[in-house]
Amino acid sequence: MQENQEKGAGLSSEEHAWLEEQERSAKRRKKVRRPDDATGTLSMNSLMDILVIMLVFLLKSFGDEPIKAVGPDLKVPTSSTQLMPEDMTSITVSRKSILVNDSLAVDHKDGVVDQSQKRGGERGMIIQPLFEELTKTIAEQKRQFAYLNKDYEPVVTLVIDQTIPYRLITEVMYTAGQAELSQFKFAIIKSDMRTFGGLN
Amino acid sequence: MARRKRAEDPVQDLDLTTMMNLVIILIPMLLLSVVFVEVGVINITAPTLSVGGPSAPSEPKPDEKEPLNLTVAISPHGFQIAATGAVLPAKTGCPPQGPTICLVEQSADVAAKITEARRIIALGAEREKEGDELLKEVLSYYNFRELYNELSRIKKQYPDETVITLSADADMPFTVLVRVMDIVRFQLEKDSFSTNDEFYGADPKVENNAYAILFGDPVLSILQ
Repeated sequence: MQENQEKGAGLSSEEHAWLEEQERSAKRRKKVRRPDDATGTLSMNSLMDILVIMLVFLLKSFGDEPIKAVGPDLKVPTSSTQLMPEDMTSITVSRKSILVNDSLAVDHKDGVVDQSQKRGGERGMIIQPLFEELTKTIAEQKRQFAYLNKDYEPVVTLVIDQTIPYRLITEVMYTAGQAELSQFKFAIIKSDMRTFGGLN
Repeated sequence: MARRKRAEDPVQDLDLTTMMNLVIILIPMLLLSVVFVEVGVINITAPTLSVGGPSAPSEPKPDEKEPLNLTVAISPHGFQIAATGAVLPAKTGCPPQGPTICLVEQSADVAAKITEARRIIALGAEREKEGDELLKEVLSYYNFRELYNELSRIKKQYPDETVITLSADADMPFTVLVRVMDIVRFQLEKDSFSTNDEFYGADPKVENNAYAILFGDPVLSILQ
Protein backbone atom coordinates (compact mmCIF):
# COMPACT_ATOMS: atom_id res chain seq x y z
CA MET A 1 0.00 0.00 0.00
CA GLN A 2 2.68 2.38 1.01
CA GLU A 3 4.56 1.59 -2.12
CA ASN A 4 1.46 2.32 -4.19
CA GLN A 5 0.96 5.69 -2.60
CA GLU A 6 4.51 6.63 -3.28
CA LYS A 7 4.09 5.85 -6.93
CA GLY A 8 0.83 7.81 -6.98
CA ALA A 9 -1.07 5.00 -8.64
CA GLY A 10 -3.39 2.20 -7.75
CA LEU A 11 -5.97 4.31 -5.93
CA SER A 12 -9.06 2.67 -4.62
CA SER A 13 -12.42 3.46 -6.19
CA GLU A 14 -13.41 5.45 -3.09
CA GLU A 15 -10.43 7.63 -3.46
CA HIS A 16 -11.16 8.13 -7.17
CA ALA A 17 -14.67 9.21 -6.34
CA TRP A 18 -13.38 11.66 -3.76
CA LEU A 19 -10.95 13.17 -6.23
CA GLU A 20 -13.67 13.60 -8.84
CA GLU A 21 -15.91 15.22 -6.26
CA GLN A 22 -13.13 17.67 -5.46
CA GLU A 23 -12.66 18.53 -9.11
CA ARG A 24 -16.35 19.09 -9.59
CA SER A 25 -16.64 21.31 -6.60
CA ALA A 26 -13.63 23.30 -7.77
CA LYS A 27 -15.37 23.83 -11.13
CA ARG A 28 -18.54 24.86 -9.36
CA ARG A 29 -16.66 27.37 -7.30
CA LYS A 30 -15.15 28.83 -10.43
CA LYS A 31 -18.57 29.11 -12.03
CA VAL A 32 -19.94 30.91 -9.01
CA ARG A 33 -17.07 33.37 -8.88
CA ARG A 34 -17.03 34.28 -12.52
CA PRO A 35 -19.88 36.85 -12.39
CA ASP A 36 -17.93 38.65 -9.65
CA ASP A 37 -14.78 38.69 -11.69
CA ALA A 38 -16.54 40.24 -14.62
CA THR A 39 -17.17 43.47 -12.73
CA GLY A 40 -13.79 43.35 -10.93
CA THR A 41 -11.52 46.36 -10.92
CA LEU A 42 -7.92 46.61 -12.05
CA SER A 43 -5.52 46.09 -9.21
CA MET A 44 -3.63 49.34 -9.08
CA ASN A 45 -1.84 48.87 -5.80
CA SER A 46 1.65 48.77 -7.25
CA LEU A 47 0.91 51.67 -9.58
CA MET A 48 -0.33 53.69 -6.63
CA ASP A 49 2.84 52.87 -4.73
CA ILE A 50 4.94 54.25 -7.57
CA LEU A 51 2.83 57.35 -7.93
CA VAL A 52 2.83 58.13 -4.24
CA ILE A 53 6.60 57.75 -4.01
CA MET A 54 7.05 59.95 -7.10
CA LEU A 55 4.73 62.54 -5.65
CA VAL A 56 6.74 62.72 -2.45
CA PHE A 57 10.04 63.07 -4.32
CA LEU A 58 8.71 65.73 -6.66
CA LEU A 59 7.19 67.71 -3.82
CA LYS A 60 10.50 67.54 -2.00
CA SER A 61 12.54 68.76 -4.96
CA PHE A 62 9.90 71.44 -5.53
CA GLY A 63 10.29 72.66 -1.99
CA ASP A 64 14.02 72.70 -1.36
CA GLU A 65 15.11 74.90 -4.25
CA PRO A 66 15.83 78.18 -2.50
CA ILE A 67 16.59 80.10 -5.68
CA LYS A 68 14.84 80.03 -9.00
CA ALA A 69 17.51 80.55 -11.62
CA VAL A 70 15.56 79.85 -14.79
CA GLY A 71 12.99 82.01 -16.47
CA PRO A 72 11.83 83.22 -19.87
CA ASP A 73 14.25 86.15 -19.91
CA LEU A 74 16.79 84.82 -17.47
CA LYS A 75 19.68 82.51 -18.26
CA VAL A 76 22.31 82.21 -15.59
CA PRO A 77 25.83 81.26 -16.68
CA THR A 78 27.38 77.95 -15.68
CA SER A 79 30.32 77.65 -13.32
CA SER A 80 32.41 75.03 -11.58
CA THR A 81 31.86 76.39 -8.08
CA GLN A 82 31.22 73.93 -5.26
CA LEU A 83 29.17 76.11 -2.89
CA MET A 84 25.50 75.55 -2.18
CA PRO A 85 22.92 78.34 -2.21
CA GLU A 86 21.23 79.56 0.96
CA ASP A 87 17.72 80.78 1.40
CA MET A 88 18.27 84.50 1.81
CA THR A 89 17.33 87.75 0.15
CA SER A 90 17.76 87.46 -3.58
CA ILE A 91 18.06 90.07 -6.27
CA THR A 92 17.26 88.82 -9.74
CA VAL A 93 18.53 90.80 -12.71
CA SER A 94 16.77 89.46 -15.78
CA ARG A 95 17.14 90.82 -19.29
CA LYS A 96 14.33 93.30 -18.71
CA SER A 97 13.94 94.01 -15.03
CA ILE A 98 15.38 93.86 -11.54
CA LEU A 99 13.45 91.95 -8.90
CA VAL A 100 13.86 91.66 -5.15
CA ASN A 101 12.62 88.30 -3.86
CA ASP A 102 10.37 87.91 -6.94
CA SER A 103 8.74 91.31 -6.64
CA LEU A 104 9.50 93.86 -9.31
CA ALA A 105 11.71 96.77 -8.28
CA VAL A 106 12.62 98.48 -11.52
CA ASP A 107 12.86 97.83 -15.26
CA HIS A 108 15.97 98.32 -17.32
CA LYS A 109 16.52 98.54 -21.03
CA ASP A 110 19.54 96.70 -22.50
CA GLY A 111 21.33 96.87 -19.18
CA VAL A 112 20.73 100.55 -18.60
CA VAL A 113 18.40 101.81 -15.88
CA ASP A 114 16.70 105.04 -16.85
CA GLN A 115 18.58 107.93 -15.29
CA SER A 116 15.42 109.34 -13.74
CA GLN A 117 15.39 106.23 -11.53
CA LYS A 118 18.94 106.76 -10.34
CA ARG A 119 20.31 108.99 -7.65
CA GLY A 120 22.76 111.35 -9.30
CA GLY A 121 21.58 110.95 -12.88
CA GLU A 122 23.34 108.96 -15.58
CA ARG A 123 26.62 108.48 -13.70
CA GLY A 124 24.87 107.69 -10.43
CA MET A 125 25.41 104.33 -8.79
CA ILE A 126 22.29 104.03 -6.63
CA ILE A 127 19.11 102.77 -8.27
CA GLN A 128 16.45 104.41 -6.15
CA PRO A 129 13.46 102.01 -6.59
CA LEU A 130 15.75 99.03 -5.97
CA PHE A 131 17.12 100.69 -2.87
CA GLU A 132 13.63 101.33 -1.51
CA GLU A 133 12.47 97.79 -2.25
CA LEU A 134 15.58 96.36 -0.57
CA THR A 135 15.21 98.52 2.53
CA LYS A 136 11.59 97.39 2.84
CA THR A 137 12.50 93.69 2.40
CA ILE A 138 15.38 93.89 4.83
CA ALA A 139 13.31 95.63 7.50
CA GLU A 140 10.71 92.89 7.14
CA GLN A 141 13.34 90.16 7.38
CA LYS A 142 15.00 91.72 10.39
CA ARG A 143 11.64 91.81 12.14
CA GLN A 144 11.08 88.15 11.33
CA PHE A 145 14.52 87.16 12.54
CA ALA A 146 14.11 89.12 15.76
CA TYR A 147 10.82 87.34 16.31
CA LEU A 148 12.52 83.97 15.81
CA ASN A 149 15.43 84.99 18.03
CA LYS A 150 17.94 84.46 15.25
CA ASP A 151 20.77 86.67 14.12
CA TYR A 152 20.16 88.42 10.85
CA GLU A 153 22.94 88.03 8.32
CA PRO A 154 23.19 90.64 5.59
CA VAL A 155 23.58 88.08 2.81
CA VAL A 156 22.20 88.61 -0.65
CA THR A 157 22.19 86.24 -3.60
CA LEU A 158 22.40 87.84 -7.00
CA VAL A 159 20.78 85.92 -9.82
CA ILE A 160 22.04 87.61 -12.96
CA ASP A 161 21.39 86.84 -16.59
CA GLN A 162 24.48 86.03 -18.65
CA THR A 163 24.20 89.05 -20.91
CA ILE A 164 23.92 91.72 -18.20
CA PRO A 165 26.74 94.25 -18.57
CA TYR A 166 29.27 94.77 -15.80
CA ARG A 167 28.15 98.33 -15.20
CA LEU A 168 24.64 97.27 -14.16
CA ILE A 169 26.03 94.51 -11.90
CA THR A 170 28.16 97.01 -10.03
CA GLU A 171 25.25 99.43 -9.73
CA VAL A 172 23.04 96.72 -8.27
CA MET A 173 25.78 95.62 -5.87
CA TYR A 174 26.52 99.18 -4.83
CA THR A 175 22.83 99.85 -4.18
CA ALA A 176 22.61 96.66 -2.13
CA GLY A 177 25.68 97.77 -0.21
CA GLN A 178 23.96 101.05 0.61
CA ALA A 179 20.97 99.05 1.85
CA GLU A 180 23.26 97.43 4.45
CA LEU A 181 23.77 94.19 2.57
CA SER A 182 27.43 93.29 2.80
CA GLN A 183 27.84 89.64 1.78
CA PHE A 184 27.27 88.90 -1.87
CA LYS A 185 26.82 85.64 -3.68
CA PHE A 186 26.39 85.11 -7.40
CA ALA A 187 23.98 82.33 -8.26
CA ILE A 188 25.14 80.15 -11.14
CA ILE A 189 24.26 76.78 -12.59
CA LYS A 190 26.68 74.10 -11.53
CA SER A 191 28.58 72.32 -14.22
CA ASP A 192 31.28 69.72 -14.46
CA MET A 193 34.50 70.68 -12.75
CA ARG A 194 36.63 70.00 -15.80
CA THR A 195 34.69 71.86 -18.44
CA PHE A 196 35.07 75.38 -17.06
CA GLY A 197 31.41 76.04 -17.54
CA GLY A 198 31.01 74.18 -20.79
CA LEU A 199 33.52 75.99 -22.93
CA ASN A 200 34.81 72.82 -24.48
CA MET B 1 -19.77 26.24 4.37
CA ALA B 2 -19.18 29.43 6.27
CA ARG B 3 -15.66 29.52 4.94
CA ARG B 4 -16.77 29.25 1.37
CA LYS B 5 -19.21 32.11 1.77
CA ARG B 6 -16.49 34.45 2.94
CA ALA B 7 -14.38 33.58 -0.07
CA GLU B 8 -17.25 34.45 -2.38
CA ASP B 9 -17.72 37.92 -0.88
CA PRO B 10 -16.50 40.62 -3.24
CA VAL B 11 -13.25 42.04 -1.89
CA GLN B 12 -13.90 45.52 -0.59
CA ASP B 13 -11.33 47.76 -2.26
CA LEU B 14 -10.84 51.38 -1.29
CA ASP B 15 -12.29 53.60 -3.95
CA LEU B 16 -9.14 55.36 -5.12
CA THR B 17 -10.57 57.04 -8.19
CA THR B 18 -10.56 60.56 -6.78
CA MET B 19 -7.18 60.09 -5.21
CA MET B 20 -5.82 58.80 -8.53
CA ASN B 21 -7.22 61.80 -10.35
CA LEU B 22 -5.45 64.09 -7.96
CA VAL B 23 -2.15 62.25 -8.19
CA ILE B 24 -2.28 62.00 -11.96
CA ILE B 25 -2.83 65.74 -12.24
CA LEU B 26 -0.22 66.65 -9.61
CA ILE B 27 2.59 64.56 -11.07
CA PRO B 28 2.75 66.13 -14.55
CA MET B 29 2.39 69.56 -12.96
CA LEU B 30 5.31 68.98 -10.62
CA LEU B 31 7.37 67.31 -13.33
CA LEU B 32 6.95 70.36 -15.52
CA SER B 33 7.91 72.75 -12.77
CA VAL B 34 10.92 70.75 -11.64
CA VAL B 35 14.08 72.28 -12.95
CA PHE B 36 16.76 69.69 -13.41
CA VAL B 37 19.65 72.04 -12.84
CA GLU B 38 21.60 72.46 -9.70
CA VAL B 39 22.13 75.99 -8.54
CA GLY B 40 25.36 76.95 -6.83
CA VAL B 41 26.82 80.21 -5.63
CA ILE B 42 30.08 82.11 -5.90
CA ASN B 43 31.06 84.16 -2.88
CA ILE B 44 32.06 87.63 -3.84
CA THR B 45 33.22 90.62 -1.88
CA ALA B 46 31.45 93.91 -2.28
CA PRO B 47 32.85 96.34 -4.76
CA THR B 48 35.00 99.05 -3.35
CA LEU B 49 34.20 102.39 -4.80
CA SER B 50 37.31 104.38 -5.38
CA VAL B 51 36.44 107.95 -6.19
CA GLY B 52 39.31 110.38 -6.56
CA GLY B 53 41.58 111.33 -3.64
CA PRO B 54 43.71 108.68 -1.95
CA SER B 55 42.29 107.11 1.17
CA ALA B 56 44.25 107.59 4.38
CA PRO B 57 47.30 105.38 4.03
CA SER B 58 47.41 102.72 6.70
CA GLU B 59 50.64 102.39 8.65
CA PRO B 60 52.67 99.66 7.03
CA LYS B 61 53.75 97.00 9.48
CA PRO B 62 57.50 96.39 9.35
CA ASP B 63 57.27 92.60 8.96
CA GLU B 64 54.55 92.72 6.36
CA LYS B 65 55.29 91.85 2.78
CA GLU B 66 54.42 94.32 0.12
CA PRO B 67 50.72 93.79 -0.59
CA LEU B 68 50.06 91.97 -3.84
CA ASN B 69 46.84 93.76 -4.85
CA LEU B 70 46.43 91.45 -7.79
CA THR B 71 44.00 92.92 -10.28
CA VAL B 72 42.63 91.51 -13.49
CA ALA B 73 40.79 93.90 -15.75
CA ILE B 74 38.73 92.42 -18.55
CA SER B 75 38.48 94.49 -21.71
CA PRO B 76 37.38 93.64 -25.24
CA HIS B 77 41.07 93.37 -26.12
CA GLY B 78 42.12 90.94 -23.42
CA PHE B 79 43.16 90.78 -19.79
CA GLN B 80 45.18 93.47 -18.10
CA ILE B 81 46.97 92.10 -15.04
CA ALA B 82 48.34 94.40 -12.36
CA ALA B 83 50.15 93.41 -9.18
CA THR B 84 52.00 95.29 -6.45
CA GLY B 85 50.89 98.52 -8.01
CA ALA B 86 52.42 97.90 -11.42
CA VAL B 87 50.75 96.76 -14.61
CA LEU B 88 52.38 93.73 -16.14
CA PRO B 89 53.69 94.37 -19.66
CA ALA B 90 52.14 92.67 -22.65
CA LYS B 91 53.21 89.07 -23.20
CA THR B 92 55.29 88.17 -26.20
CA GLY B 93 53.16 87.94 -29.30
CA CYS B 94 50.80 90.66 -28.11
CA PRO B 95 50.91 94.32 -29.18
CA PRO B 96 53.19 96.14 -26.73
CA GLN B 97 50.69 98.90 -25.98
CA GLY B 98 47.83 96.48 -25.38
CA PRO B 99 46.73 94.46 -22.38
CA THR B 100 48.93 91.85 -20.64
CA ILE B 101 47.18 88.94 -22.28
CA CYS B 102 45.67 89.68 -25.64
CA LEU B 103 42.96 87.82 -27.52
CA VAL B 104 43.65 84.59 -29.34
CA GLU B 105 42.71 86.33 -32.56
CA GLN B 106 43.74 89.93 -32.25
CA SER B 107 41.63 91.08 -35.16
CA ALA B 108 38.41 89.85 -33.55
CA ASP B 109 35.94 92.58 -32.67
CA VAL B 110 34.67 91.26 -29.35
CA ALA B 111 32.65 94.36 -28.45
CA ALA B 112 30.66 94.12 -31.69
CA LYS B 113 30.03 90.40 -31.13
CA ILE B 114 28.72 91.09 -27.63
CA THR B 115 26.33 93.75 -28.92
CA GLU B 116 25.19 91.39 -31.68
CA ALA B 117 24.66 88.54 -29.19
CA ARG B 118 22.52 90.78 -26.97
CA ARG B 119 20.48 91.94 -29.96
CA ILE B 120 19.81 88.39 -31.11
CA ILE B 121 18.88 87.13 -27.64
CA ALA B 122 16.48 90.07 -27.23
CA LEU B 123 14.62 88.95 -30.37
CA GLY B 124 12.97 86.09 -28.52
CA ALA B 125 13.21 82.51 -27.38
CA GLU B 126 13.61 81.04 -30.89
CA ARG B 127 16.82 82.94 -31.53
CA GLU B 128 18.22 82.55 -28.01
CA LYS B 129 20.36 79.57 -28.93
CA GLU B 130 22.00 81.53 -31.69
CA GLY B 131 22.83 84.30 -29.22
CA ASP B 132 24.23 81.75 -26.78
CA GLU B 133 26.52 80.44 -29.49
CA LEU B 134 27.73 83.95 -30.19
CA LEU B 135 28.49 84.50 -26.51
CA LYS B 136 30.42 81.23 -26.49
CA GLU B 137 32.35 82.47 -29.48
CA VAL B 138 33.17 85.63 -27.53
CA LEU B 139 34.50 83.47 -24.69
CA SER B 140 36.61 81.45 -27.10
CA TYR B 141 38.49 84.60 -28.17
CA TYR B 142 39.88 85.10 -24.69
CA ASN B 143 43.12 83.38 -23.87
CA PHE B 144 42.13 81.78 -20.56
CA ARG B 145 45.04 79.34 -20.72
CA GLU B 146 47.58 82.14 -20.74
CA LEU B 147 45.68 83.89 -17.92
CA TYR B 148 45.92 80.73 -15.83
CA ASN B 149 49.63 80.31 -16.60
CA GLU B 150 50.35 83.88 -15.58
CA LEU B 151 48.30 83.73 -12.39
CA SER B 152 49.79 80.45 -11.28
CA ARG B 153 53.25 81.97 -11.79
CA ILE B 154 52.22 84.84 -9.47
CA LYS B 155 50.73 82.33 -7.02
CA LYS B 156 54.14 80.66 -6.70
CA GLN B 157 55.65 83.92 -5.51
CA TYR B 158 52.75 84.68 -3.17
CA PRO B 159 51.52 81.27 -2.00
CA ASP B 160 49.30 82.66 0.78
CA GLU B 161 47.48 85.20 -1.33
CA THR B 162 43.92 84.27 -2.33
CA VAL B 163 42.34 87.65 -3.04
CA ILE B 164 41.97 88.84 -6.60
CA THR B 165 40.33 92.05 -7.68
CA LEU B 166 38.33 91.83 -10.87
CA SER B 167 37.14 94.67 -12.96
CA ALA B 168 35.72 94.82 -16.42
CA ASP B 169 34.65 97.21 -19.08
CA ALA B 170 31.19 98.65 -18.47
CA ASP B 171 29.73 96.63 -21.32
CA MET B 172 31.31 93.25 -20.49
CA PRO B 173 28.62 90.55 -20.11
CA PHE B 174 28.27 88.68 -16.83
CA THR B 175 29.15 85.34 -18.39
CA VAL B 176 32.73 86.47 -19.14
CA LEU B 177 33.13 87.57 -15.53
CA VAL B 178 31.92 84.21 -14.21
CA ARG B 179 34.28 82.40 -16.57
CA VAL B 180 37.25 84.42 -15.32
CA MET B 181 36.23 83.66 -11.73
CA ASP B 182 36.13 79.96 -12.67
CA ILE B 183 39.61 80.06 -14.14
CA VAL B 184 41.16 81.83 -11.17
CA ARG B 185 39.46 79.73 -8.49
CA PHE B 186 41.38 76.44 -8.42
CA GLN B 187 44.88 75.29 -9.16
CA LEU B 188 45.10 72.64 -11.84
CA GLU B 189 47.37 69.60 -11.93
CA LYS B 190 50.03 71.57 -13.78
CA ASP B 191 51.20 75.13 -13.31
CA SER B 192 51.58 75.85 -16.96
CA PHE B 193 49.85 74.55 -20.04
CA SER B 194 51.03 74.86 -23.59
CA THR B 195 47.92 73.67 -25.44
CA ASN B 196 44.24 74.44 -24.97
CA ASP B 197 43.21 70.78 -25.09
CA GLU B 198 45.54 69.99 -22.24
CA PHE B 199 44.31 72.99 -20.27
CA TYR B 200 40.59 72.31 -20.61
CA GLY B 201 41.06 68.61 -19.97
CA ALA B 202 43.09 69.14 -16.81
CA ASP B 203 41.83 68.05 -13.40
CA PRO B 204 42.07 70.37 -10.43
CA LYS B 205 44.94 69.81 -8.06
CA VAL B 206 43.96 68.11 -4.78
CA GLU B 207 45.69 69.03 -1.54
CA ASN B 208 44.56 67.70 1.85
CA ASN B 209 41.41 66.21 0.29
CA ALA B 210 40.30 69.55 -1.08
CA TYR B 211 40.89 71.42 -4.29
CA ALA B 212 43.92 73.66 -4.04
CA ILE B 213 42.88 77.29 -4.26
CA LEU B 214 44.55 79.60 -6.73
CA PHE B 215 42.87 82.96 -6.09
CA GLY B 216 39.56 81.95 -4.56
CA ASP B 217 38.30 85.23 -3.12
CA PRO B 218 37.25 87.49 -5.96
CA VAL B 219 36.55 91.13 -5.20
CA LEU B 220 34.72 93.26 -7.71
CA SER B 221 35.85 96.78 -8.27
CA ILE B 222 33.92 99.57 -9.87
CA LEU B 223 35.19 101.67 -12.70
CA GLN B 224 33.94 105.17 -12.19
